[in-house]
Amino acid sequence: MIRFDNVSKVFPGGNEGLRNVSFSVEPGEFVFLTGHSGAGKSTLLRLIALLERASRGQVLVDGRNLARVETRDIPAHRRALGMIFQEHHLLARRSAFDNVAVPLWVSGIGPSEIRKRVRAALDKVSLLHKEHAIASTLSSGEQQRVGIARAVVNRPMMLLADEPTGNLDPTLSREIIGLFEQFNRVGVTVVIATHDTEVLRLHPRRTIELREGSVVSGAGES
Amino acid sequence: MARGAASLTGARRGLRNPWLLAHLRALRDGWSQLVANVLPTGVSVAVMAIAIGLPATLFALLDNQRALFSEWGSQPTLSVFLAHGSPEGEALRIAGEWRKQEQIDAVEVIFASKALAQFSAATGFSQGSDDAPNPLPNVLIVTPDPLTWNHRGDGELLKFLRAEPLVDSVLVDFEWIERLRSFSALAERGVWILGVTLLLTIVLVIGNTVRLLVQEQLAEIEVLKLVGATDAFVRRPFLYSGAIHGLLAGILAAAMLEVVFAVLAGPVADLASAYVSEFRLDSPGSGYLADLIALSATIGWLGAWLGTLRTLHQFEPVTE
Ligand SMILES: Nc1ncnc2c1ncn2[C@@H]1O[C@H](COP(=O)(O)OP(=O)(O)OP(=O)(O)O)[C@@H](O)[C@H]1O
Ligand SMILES: [Mg+2]
Repeated sequence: MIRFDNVSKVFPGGNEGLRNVSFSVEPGEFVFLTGHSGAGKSTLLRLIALLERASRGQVLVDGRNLARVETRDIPAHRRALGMIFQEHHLLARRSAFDNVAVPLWVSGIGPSEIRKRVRAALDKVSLLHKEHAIASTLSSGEQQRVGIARAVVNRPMMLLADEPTGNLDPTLSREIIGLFEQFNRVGVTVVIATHDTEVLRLHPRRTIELREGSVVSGAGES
Repeated sequence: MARGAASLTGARRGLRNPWLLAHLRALRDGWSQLVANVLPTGVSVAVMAIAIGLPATLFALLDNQRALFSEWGSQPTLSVFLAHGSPEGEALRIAGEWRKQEQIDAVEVIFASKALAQFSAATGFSQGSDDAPNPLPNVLIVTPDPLTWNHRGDGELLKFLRAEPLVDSVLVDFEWIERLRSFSALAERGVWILGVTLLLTIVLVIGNTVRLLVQEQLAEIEVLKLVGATDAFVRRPFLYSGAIHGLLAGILAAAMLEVVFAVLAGPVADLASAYVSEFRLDSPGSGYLADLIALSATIGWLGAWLGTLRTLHQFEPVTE
């Protein structure tokens, strides 16, 4: 499903985000991505979502070489996967409902279908009662859950989550990871970047560990 | 049931066309961008209205002047003096031949004898003796066909008229109209240049206004692009913003134009009647005003498109 072949990412200015990274994730797998702060977890996820492009090496998603995806096809690529961001990235002045509805608006889905799907997604993250609340008035944990609802509302084949439990208490954390597992059970590939050791301990799964931009363990068969 | 603005978000039943809905949503977002920025919007709408209204008004005035010329110019006449002593029968013959010419509309014959009688009656001078030679020639008043009449007055018609052996001289006595006409052609060109210049200015004004709107919503645009919004989707509300700008400016410009015409109508009518002219200042029709408003909205749209151009690409990942 995801395959990195000797991928390096050098940022303009010379910062090295990833160094010669190779690993693969099979379809339907559930993988944790861990490592110290600045190890390159976010960078790795952003390469998959084409928020960044690799400096060297190949990134393949669903058999497709991302280097060949043209700029105008990037939106469709992003919509095909669900991404949960470390910094929420919500429309601050819009309601929770609108925020979750955005990917569906872009896809040109009809209003009644949007309503049904958005409410279902908000229900999954236990936020249906905050449907009409403006995003900026929500707590950090609530905003994170709105972001999760937005990521799953388009029924993506793959979920990429960057520190999805960063602002959640242990109970909510478990619930959210449980939610990802639920999606995983119906075939969705899940990659979660986290340095929350408690989460890793409670949910033993394959864990890819990064250190200073390189994979040190859990790369899987290559 | 939620009505009004909320109904646009998709709750209203019956509105099931996603494409239409996406546009309505963008329209609403574009409108709220303007409402949230009333002051800058108002200023740029006013600037745009003036920049569009000025050339539009001048064009409409020029158009009226054209009507004035056709009133004056539709009956330009040439006075053709025949040789002294040429018989009246010859004058009639020539007039008859000329009337058959395509480039001549009408020929009026003024016999020397009749002219002299009129002159005597008007002045009280009597001729003294009936057999003294008439000092006045027979005159033909020729009305050229306005379609083929060469405005520079040196055309084939004059050559043709002078070719008749009995013609003594031809008097073209409306040269001042021609001068005015060429002056107005110059003025028209000037208005064109002014119009195009101002149009470009407006595109820049709108582009800049929209760019500011874009800057203000950079965070939101980034979010939209992160979750896979296309450029068209992100741009659409801004385009509507620009088009609404243009629409409002167009309406304001049309109103300005009507006011100018209303203010000028009275004095122009007075002036015209002083010159025994039927000329009246006509405000341009609703078609002209509709075109004006449509043009203005289109320019707004175009300017907005320019205004969004650069910002949208800053979120794209770069390949080295
Ligand atoms: N846009 C950027 N420009 C320059 N350097 C960057 C950029 N993004 C990331 N980096 C650098 O790349 C390295 C990896 O960053 P990354 O955000 O991937 O780390 P991370 O593992 O997600 O850390 P954290 O756990 O703190 O989120 C860091 O050294 C960082 O400074
Ligand atoms: Mg990170």
